[in-house]
Amino acid sequence: MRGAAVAAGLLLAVLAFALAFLPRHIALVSGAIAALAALGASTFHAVQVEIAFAGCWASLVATAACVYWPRIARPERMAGPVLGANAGLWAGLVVATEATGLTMLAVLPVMVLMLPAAWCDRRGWGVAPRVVTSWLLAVALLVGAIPHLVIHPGYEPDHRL
Amino acid sequence: MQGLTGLQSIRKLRLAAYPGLLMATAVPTFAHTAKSLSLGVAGGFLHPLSGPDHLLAMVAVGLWGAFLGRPLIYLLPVVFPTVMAVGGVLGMARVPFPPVEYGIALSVLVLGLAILLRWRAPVWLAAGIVGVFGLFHGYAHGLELPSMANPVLFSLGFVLATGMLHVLGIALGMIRDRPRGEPVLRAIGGAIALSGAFFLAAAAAV
Repeated sequence: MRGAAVAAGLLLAVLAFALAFLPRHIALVSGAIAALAALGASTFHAVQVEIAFAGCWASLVATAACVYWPRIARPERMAGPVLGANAGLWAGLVVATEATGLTMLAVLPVMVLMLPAAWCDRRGWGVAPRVVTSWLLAVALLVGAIPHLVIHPGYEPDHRL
Repeated sequence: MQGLTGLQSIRKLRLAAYPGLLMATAVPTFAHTAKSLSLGVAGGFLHPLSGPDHLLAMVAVGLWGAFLGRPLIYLLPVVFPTVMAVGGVLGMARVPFPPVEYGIALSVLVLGLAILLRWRAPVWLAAGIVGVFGLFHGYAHGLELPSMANPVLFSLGFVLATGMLHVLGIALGMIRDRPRGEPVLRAIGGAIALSGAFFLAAAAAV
């Protein structure tokens, strides 16, 4: 187990913060696209674990960049839906390596974080989601590094047969 | 249990369970123990709270950030967890590192002194100092992570707790804007620095 659900949750949480800086209708459409992409991709079990996690971490960094510099995801560029589709796809694929669509359904509610983040942004406290994003990046760094650095029984098959 | 009503039986069972419950929830002070670490997200969350050196350093980062104002009020809580995670990776990889206990004790002392002396460090220097101390705290967590039952959830817990402690520090720092707030804030800084000196002496004595 490499923490696929945690990885997907981190990516979707950062996506929620990135979408919070967009106009409401674009954010909602992008969130819906992300949810559909995640649910669809979580049924695709053929993807390799390393590829799924690499895509997830790369998407997380790209999405976090849109939290710190919201101008990257300007509405006229359709960046919101593209961001949502990309994050949803990799979140779904990473969940598919360890779990099922039901796990994806359990992870998806983290996108509700978009609401308090948008509220903070409207009140001029846009720094709050950015600070929390840095925490999520820190967790992602550890979650991404742990399987490569720690020989832990949980990451190894418990038997060979 | 014969002769007892259902309610009496439950009461007796509850009484019998109290000592066990107390033992199960007992938290040793001033120390991290191996048992308390064998948990997931809850263990990770409680980890920085159960060690006074970690706790004071995290609160001091928030306090100093609040004292320095923008942009450091939010830059320090962004820098610290990110660099702490890098330190965690170094710890897990067992990369040789200066004595961690000294670094952590020094972080409490220096951050406390910075608040006490109203040190308005430039942005790059404040971020650099907090970043270096973040490495030490992260390294300590990284050394402990491999023994966790669930290191992924544990890391999630301790990063979130660290962030919350920064926010607590920032909230405490807001008293600066109140009448006589600054002397109170500096006194808190002094107390933190004193604790840091104690931790440093304790580390040297070992």
